[in-house]
Amino acid sequence: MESLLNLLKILTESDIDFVIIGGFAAMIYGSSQVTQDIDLCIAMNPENIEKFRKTLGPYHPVHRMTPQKLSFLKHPEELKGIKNLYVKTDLGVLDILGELPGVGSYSEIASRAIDTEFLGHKVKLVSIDDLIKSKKIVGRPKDHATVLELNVIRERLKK
Amino acid sequence: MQPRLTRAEQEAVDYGIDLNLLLLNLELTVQQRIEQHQRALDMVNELKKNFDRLHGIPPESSQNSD
Repeated sequence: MESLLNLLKILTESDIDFVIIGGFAAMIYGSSQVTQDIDLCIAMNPENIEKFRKTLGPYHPVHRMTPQKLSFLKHPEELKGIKNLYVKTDLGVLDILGELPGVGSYSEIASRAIDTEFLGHKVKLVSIDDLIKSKKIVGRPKDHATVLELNVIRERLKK
Repeated sequence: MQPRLTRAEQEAVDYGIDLNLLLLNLELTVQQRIEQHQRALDMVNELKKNFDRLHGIPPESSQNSD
């Protein structure tokens, strides 16, 4: 059964370093918007992609953007030069980005990220400033609503 | 007397955001926010599934994500 909660659980139990970004990060900050996927920023290298294959393997991951829904476990064979991965699993959709366009690379995002905790595991969350910046860049109406909520949350965090 | 809203709060209210709901979220722990979101998502997906079934829409065609 689809469950982003369970998807996050298996990711936090893995040994993959990632930063939660996007709408799911906004929800963790307190946004009331409902999101259908988890977005992560990672150091996009063959070693990390293999770790994702191992972690997601039991949940039938496929490349959701390909019409044939190619298996993430077999495609691509060449793991170098990949920028983003858009994966659908039995637990839900997971978008894995190597950078946040207009905001920074994984190492820059990670250096500003904050630590939070989920089920006893430490989880890295994109900084609220980087999250607001990325949402403004994407610029869809729902992102505007999220930005307005995050502006209020940022004020509260500073108090 | 209502407390004066900050500029960010006023902008959010003007856009139609339920400030009270947002502030209630901030009282929750991270774990509680994730669990609450999952319950909301389950309900949205269930409603969407029922809508699709009633209108003869194939399951995959209405899927959407961020």
